[in-house]
Amino acid sequence: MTNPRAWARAAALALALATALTGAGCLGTTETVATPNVTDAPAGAGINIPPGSSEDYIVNVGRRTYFKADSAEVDATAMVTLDKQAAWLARYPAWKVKIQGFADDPGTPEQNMALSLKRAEAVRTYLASRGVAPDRMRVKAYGRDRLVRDCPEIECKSQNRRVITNLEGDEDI
Amino acid sequence: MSITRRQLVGAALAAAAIPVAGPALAQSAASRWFAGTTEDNGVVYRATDFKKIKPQWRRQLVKYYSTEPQGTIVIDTRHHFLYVIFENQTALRYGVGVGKEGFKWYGRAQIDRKAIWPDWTPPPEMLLRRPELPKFMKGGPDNPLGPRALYLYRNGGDLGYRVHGTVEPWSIGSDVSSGCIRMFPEDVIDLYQRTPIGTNVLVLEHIAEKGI
Repeated sequence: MTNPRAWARAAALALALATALTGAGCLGTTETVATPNVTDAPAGAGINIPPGSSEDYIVNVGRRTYFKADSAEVDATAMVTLDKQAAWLARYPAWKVKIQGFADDPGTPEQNMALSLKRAEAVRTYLASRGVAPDRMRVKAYGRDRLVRDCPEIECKSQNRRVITNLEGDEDI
Repeated sequence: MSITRRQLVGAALAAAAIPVAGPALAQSAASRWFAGTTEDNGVVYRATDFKKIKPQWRRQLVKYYSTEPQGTIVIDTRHHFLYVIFENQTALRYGVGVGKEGFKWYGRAQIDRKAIWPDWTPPPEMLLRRPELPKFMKGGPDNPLGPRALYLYRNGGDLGYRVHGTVEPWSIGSDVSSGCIRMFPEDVIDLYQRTPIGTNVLVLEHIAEKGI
């Protein structure tokens, strides 16, 4: 085994096993076991994701929906993700969500703040129409705060024009 | 004289007599990779039996150390992984199949076009190599592009490379005879959802080139 990645995997596996044996593993969170800080080491439960955990939600549903320039319209692609979110939330009713709206669009900071709020509210309205109880959702607008990447090109903008339906209790994005 | 259905079937079988055994056998060998069917956008397709798939090729959350911003797609062609970069030095990792002659290109691109159940027009070079291929195939459950295609562009020009699905789940994790970057149908549908137009793509021969 001369390949460093193979070593890393073996080390990760050994650690995971050791942790499982000592009972330090903790179902339902994404930080179950200490794995080495190398690319490709497991960041969660690998393929044995506990159903109903935040990791299940992140890997099998997805938190982000994206919006076109200057728009708060929930498009057909966003609806597919939101339908999955609503179905998951119906199945696991203990979770609440914080709907975080973002913008990186033409206009003033105030206009971006207003647009990010409109986006978050559009997501809340859609999820409510799919049966998620209003008291399980709250919205928060961020405007142009927390840009994923700052550049004038679409490759930056498209990632910033987003809403994140974050599980309450999960780390903020 | 009327032609009965039986005669028609008989004629069709006779016409196909020689090649029929091959595909029929291949079909039964292939079927063990599937677990029933599922529907997507009005198309019924064969669902991957993920119990048959090696763990490393299944979608999972991994650590990922680089300076790539969130949302970027990174493809490690040698190790057959595709990553969507997440926050806090993590990424969602998928297994992929890589065309032997499909990716001799490395570098940065962006997704400027996406399609659902894409049509397939094999490029002229591929038709030269494999003249038996159709010149055009409509999108659908037997189309080798599978349920989604993401088209890679640079400076507004189509690079001719795509990330797409497959009808051959056993080819994920290997170098295959043709095609670009192929994924399980379930995974390429998932990736499509996470990839807005404009998404940045980094294609690496090997991740160590850019990994920290």
